[in-house]
Amino acid sequence: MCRHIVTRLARGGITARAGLAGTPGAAWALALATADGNTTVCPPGGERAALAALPVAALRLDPDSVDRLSALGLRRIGDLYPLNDDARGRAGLARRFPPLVLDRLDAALGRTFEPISPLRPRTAHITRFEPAAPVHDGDGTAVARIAARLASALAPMLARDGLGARRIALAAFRSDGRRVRQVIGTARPLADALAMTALLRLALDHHGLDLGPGADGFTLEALRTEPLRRHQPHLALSHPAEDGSDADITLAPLVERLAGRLGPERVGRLTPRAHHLPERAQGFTPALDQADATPPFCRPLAMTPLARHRPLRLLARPLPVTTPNPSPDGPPEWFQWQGRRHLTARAKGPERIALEWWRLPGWQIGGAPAGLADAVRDYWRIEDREGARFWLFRAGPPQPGPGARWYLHGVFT
Amino acid sequence: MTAPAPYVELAVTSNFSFLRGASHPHELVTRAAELGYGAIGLADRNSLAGIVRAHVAARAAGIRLVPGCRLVTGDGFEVLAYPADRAAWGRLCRVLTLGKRRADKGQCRLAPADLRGLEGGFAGLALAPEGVISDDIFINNINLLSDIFNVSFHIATSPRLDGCDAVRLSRAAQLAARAGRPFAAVGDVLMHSPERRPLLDVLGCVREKCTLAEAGLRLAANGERHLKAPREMMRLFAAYPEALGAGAAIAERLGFSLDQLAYDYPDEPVPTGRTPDSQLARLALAGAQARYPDGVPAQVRAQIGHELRIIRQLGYAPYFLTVHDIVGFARRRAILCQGRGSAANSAVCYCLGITAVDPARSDVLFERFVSAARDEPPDIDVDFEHERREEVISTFTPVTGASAPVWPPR
Repeated sequence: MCRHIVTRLARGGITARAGLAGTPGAAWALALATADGNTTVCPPGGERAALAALPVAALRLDPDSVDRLSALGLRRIGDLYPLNDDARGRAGLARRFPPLVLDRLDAALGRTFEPISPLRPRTAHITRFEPAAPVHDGDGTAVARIAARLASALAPMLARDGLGARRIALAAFRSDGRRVRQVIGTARPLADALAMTALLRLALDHHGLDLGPGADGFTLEALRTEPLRRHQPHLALSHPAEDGSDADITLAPLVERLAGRLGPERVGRLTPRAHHLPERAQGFTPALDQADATPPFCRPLAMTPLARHRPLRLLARPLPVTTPNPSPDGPPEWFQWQGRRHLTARAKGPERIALEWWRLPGWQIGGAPAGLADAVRDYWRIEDREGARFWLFRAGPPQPGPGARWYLHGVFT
Repeated sequence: MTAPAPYVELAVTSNFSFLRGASHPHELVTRAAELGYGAIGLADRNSLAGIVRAHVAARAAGIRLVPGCRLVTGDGFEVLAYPADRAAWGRLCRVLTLGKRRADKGQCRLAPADLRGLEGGFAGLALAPEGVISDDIFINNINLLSDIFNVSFHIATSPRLDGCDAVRLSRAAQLAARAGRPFAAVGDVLMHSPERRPLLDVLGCVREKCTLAEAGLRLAANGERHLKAPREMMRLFAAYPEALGAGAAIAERLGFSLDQLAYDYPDEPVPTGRTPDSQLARLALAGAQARYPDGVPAQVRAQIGHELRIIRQLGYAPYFLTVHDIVGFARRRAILCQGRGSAANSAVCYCLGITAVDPARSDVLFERFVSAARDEPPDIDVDFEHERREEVISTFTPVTGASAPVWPPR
């Protein structure tokens, strides 16, 4: 049987080494010492002899113990036998080494019992439907009805395990032997049949499911699941929306629908990143890819400490603006943007941000900097006479004269 | 040469604050002189290790070094402590030793209560907390330490060019007003020049155990923590002119300089009524009587007088008494020993029984051994019987951890 398993695994592209012995420890050690694709079988009661020549590391010891045993010249498991057989030797081992050493030796030799806890396959969350006669894709209502029926069976199955689906696949098995699938993503762990049905219907309306000559089998499977978060809508104190309802719950169906319509990669959210440079400090993450929506799904980016004094959204790239450059290190008196002249009423700053010098050659704005001292930006929050607020920066160090280059990087809204 | 700047930088961290400062003490001092500073402080994190190098550099650069230490206690309270005199310096060393002894190598663990050991005689600059500890705890700490920092006690803060300087400075000024202490401007310098930013960032990565790409917000947003010209500091603190003069005023009130330190030989006990010199003279003459039972030759007597004069002049008598003690101990225990090397050029050593070369029968050249022209302490080599050397060493070595050497052996 052992050989059979190794052969089967090899067919599946997995190189295996097998050891068969009366104890898990001995089997493990033998497998380790066996050549790839081979099998070593230890006769019943032969563990002691079989292990003697193997290195002590085969006992599944921590590297530190292995090093220390080797330092004492105890390199093979057999080297430990004389010590182990003698009460004083055992006491010495127990004193000098962690209990693991004797435990593993005893377990491998069968002196103590070592239970095996097998890995159990995760239960698949899948529901099936086999219609009496092949279903043809008339107006699509038949498939939608089947999807609703499958969803109403899948949802309680998930809920029972305390799970919600993040990706669901509806598959149809056509009578010509082909399989067609429609995969949808959700913005939160979902175990609600109605919501699932609505999302499936939306996907079917937009993309359809080509049943060809007709389908005689359907499955609905939760491809990815996450623990279901239970909500208590009226006491949602953590991230209350304005009306007191939990914004996560109300926003999620919208995100799902938009993602279903526009494509999942087009609906995203800004996520904070640990970078000083503003354009590197936020990222765009597809909303459906968020692992279980933590950090909370609609946590505003502006809440992160770095972003307190920054516009929520930046321009795709900083835009050069014209200024009269009044003082070497102060804010501009006015600047010209989109054909309009903005007169500075108030200015706060400067916030000096040095460019990441280890990335300097790739710097876009203004070309390669002359040196380290030039690789800074001075950001100013500027309010114009009409009350509009802008985020401007001067590239390079403070300098007198008209050479300074100013850019608009964002508008406060 | 122009008059020294009215601003003195006292918040300076060198690379003796491991993985925090990015410049050598001498670089900071030399740069300060170039920028026109008349004096500069050095206050490393719970360490005085950089002070000597800074002192030497300051002497070469012709500016004054104000030696101090940045005391960081376990609760996040940071104060720059500047001793006013030699005694306060000694107490500062003692408190740091206490903190270092109880921590792992390279670390220093100080509790706020340990600062009581400073006793007084310090100028202090407490750095306004930035979110680490609350204002109330901070003010409470200040009040508790008012008798330690009784020379002067300022609340200090530094500009960071992070867009929030106006808020930071006004907050610190308010905090100072609440605590009833004057407000001081400091630069909180980590490097002597802005060009050290790459090194500072790399040190930060080593400290945080991350790569530059991963470091993100753990590094500073800019390279502003370099030594700035006094004029630049005056511009940044233009709204607080009284805070700018604080550093210079503090430096003015501190009289301590490393020049006041000299090697202190441990006290050698002598019988009451005698000085080490008179005791040495007595022992040498008594020894001479024993060495020359038929009368001390005039030439030897003159030589002893000559040697004692030089020893007295240089203050080396306690050292000769110590060696005499050790040799006497060995003789009583019948441990073989013999002085050798240049000490054989001394009639005093011969008479004390340390060496065995008779000055009456050879030409001794005492100046080869001890000379007023050479400013280095004498070195008397004594060989002991090797099987019993340990006996001598263990008797005269203080037990590790004891605060004073066990001396003399009983």
